[in-house]
Amino acid sequence: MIDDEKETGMCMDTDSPNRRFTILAADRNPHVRDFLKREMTAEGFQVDLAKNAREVLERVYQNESIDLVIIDPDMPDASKEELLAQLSDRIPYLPVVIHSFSTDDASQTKGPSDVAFVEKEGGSIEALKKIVMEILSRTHRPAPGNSSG
Amino acid sequence: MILSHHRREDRFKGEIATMWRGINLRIRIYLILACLVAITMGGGGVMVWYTYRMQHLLSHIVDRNVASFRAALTLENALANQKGFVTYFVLDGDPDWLRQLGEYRQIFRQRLEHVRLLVATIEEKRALDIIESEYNDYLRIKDQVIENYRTGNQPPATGLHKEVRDRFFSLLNRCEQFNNLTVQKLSEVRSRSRAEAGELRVIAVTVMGAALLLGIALAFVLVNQILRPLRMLASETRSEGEWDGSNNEVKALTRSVRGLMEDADQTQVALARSRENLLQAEKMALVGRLAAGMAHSIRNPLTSVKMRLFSLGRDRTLSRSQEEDFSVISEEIRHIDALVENFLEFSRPPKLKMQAISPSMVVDRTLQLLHHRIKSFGVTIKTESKGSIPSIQGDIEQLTEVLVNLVVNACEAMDGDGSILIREEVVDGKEGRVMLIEVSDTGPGIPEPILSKVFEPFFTTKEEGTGLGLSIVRRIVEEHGGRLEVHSREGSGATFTIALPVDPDAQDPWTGIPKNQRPISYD
Repeated sequence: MIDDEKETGMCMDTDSPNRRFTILAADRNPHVRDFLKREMTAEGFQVDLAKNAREVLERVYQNESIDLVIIDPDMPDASKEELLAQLSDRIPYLPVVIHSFSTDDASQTKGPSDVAFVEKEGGSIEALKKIVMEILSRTHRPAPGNSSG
Repeated sequence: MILSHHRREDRFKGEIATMWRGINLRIRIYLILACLVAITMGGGGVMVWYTYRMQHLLSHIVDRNVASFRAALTLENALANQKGFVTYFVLDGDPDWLRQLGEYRQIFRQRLEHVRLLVATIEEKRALDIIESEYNDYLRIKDQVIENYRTGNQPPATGLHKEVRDRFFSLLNRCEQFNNLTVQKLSEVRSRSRAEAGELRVIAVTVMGAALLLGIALAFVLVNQILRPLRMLASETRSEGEWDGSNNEVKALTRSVRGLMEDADQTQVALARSRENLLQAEKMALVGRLAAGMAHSIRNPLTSVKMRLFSLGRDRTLSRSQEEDFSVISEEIRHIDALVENFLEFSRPPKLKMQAISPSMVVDRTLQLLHHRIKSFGVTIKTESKGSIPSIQGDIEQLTEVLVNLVVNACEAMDGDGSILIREEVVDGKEGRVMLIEVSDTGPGIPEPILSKVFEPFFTTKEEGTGLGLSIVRRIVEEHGGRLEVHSREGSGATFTIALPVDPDAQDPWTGIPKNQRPISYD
């Protein structure tokens, strides 16, 4: 049912169009997680949370309807490179938005999935929202016939 | 059998060689010296002994032989003198002739005894015995002749006369022979002394030769094993410019060794000091790492707070004092953030992307970035460059950061109107060409007591300062191989000078022409 809805490419201006998208927000800080959930839910998305690398990978496998991952790869139980590699390895076409500090290492782009980067700071939630919208509208654009992005 | 003999010989030689090498140097020298002295003394001693022998030869033997020769001569004389008395007696019958004859006979006997005393060899003694017995016979017959004359028995006298005469001449002959014996003895002595002199000469020459050889050996050993090593050691250990050309190796070596000892002392002191520095540095590094770790950990909850602040700031329905509170919270959070950020940058390991750049590029970029800021401060800024500006190796981002920091500091110090001068100049220093970039302001200057502290981490005179700006800036400059200095007097502004080494082989960043082909200079 949900897939059909996706296939018919309903436009963004219907009621809570974002309801069909599930976002996984991963951060080691519970307050940041809650903030992300609050803000993204306000935009109408379904939000799942993960607090460490294990949970991230679990969720990604379990819940196949995850459409996008917002992740700060600084997790207590895995190295950043490993985690990102595993993400893009296992489900290559899952868009990943890295929400972290840019001064640590050069931002990684691994694999064929979309990896965007948002600098983590006070007002980064706005940038996150924008990018998330952009990516989701890009990857789930309307069926051919309508104008594509 | 022969084989074993050779092997024994070789082994013997080998043993000698090892023994020689094993002998201490000092012992070797003593050995050679001892041989030298022994040979000289021995040779001298032998010669002294020989002189005594010669003396004995000459004084004792020669003297004796000469004496016996002379005695023999007088003996001959005594015999010869006996001739004729009988004839005279026959002629005038005077008995006094016979008496004189008796005297001469007496003399002959005396002299014979005398000679006998002087004679040493058996040959001579036998000759004398023969002379004596013949003389006795002669006397007998002569007496018979005289007796015949006395008794008037004439005719047999003439026959006896002949016999007497013959015996006389034979005696004379024997005396001659005896003398010749003595002469022979003398010439024997002479040839013996000559032979011995020859031997002595041979010994002397041998001793001289041996002494010469030993002397050469000693000189060889001394030069090779003492003087030459000393000289080499002296030349190895001397410090530059201390060689006074003297050939006294010992003095030179003493000086060198003393110099070395001094160096060693100084080195030890320097070592102790540097060890202490290292300890300090390690402690600092540890503290730095801890602090960096802490800064990292602070960032996480701090970011969470910032996000919430942002959210709060979005829809503000706060009272006035709440607004103020919110404002202060935001500002202080910003301050903490700046501290953490700066600190992390400060403690980050350096990652410079070096390339050939022109300092003017850096200045231009800085002015571009700060254009509005400078205008808002109300400060005028001027640039000046002296001579042709070479390219340097540097990370343009970091160098821009440096300049930005300095310019902003200057602006903040001047607090209103004032002017900043950025000067570029190339100078030739001891270590080569140096690029100077000076940032001078007309602000209040930096008081003397804090002038040396401005580069210290966390030192700040500003309310909202982090105190890390200048330390970061200095670190960046030093990583480029340069120096950052400040000159200031209270009341007359401050000048920060960045000195960076110029890359002599670089290409001109504008034209790509290698530096050493620059045709124009603006000196």
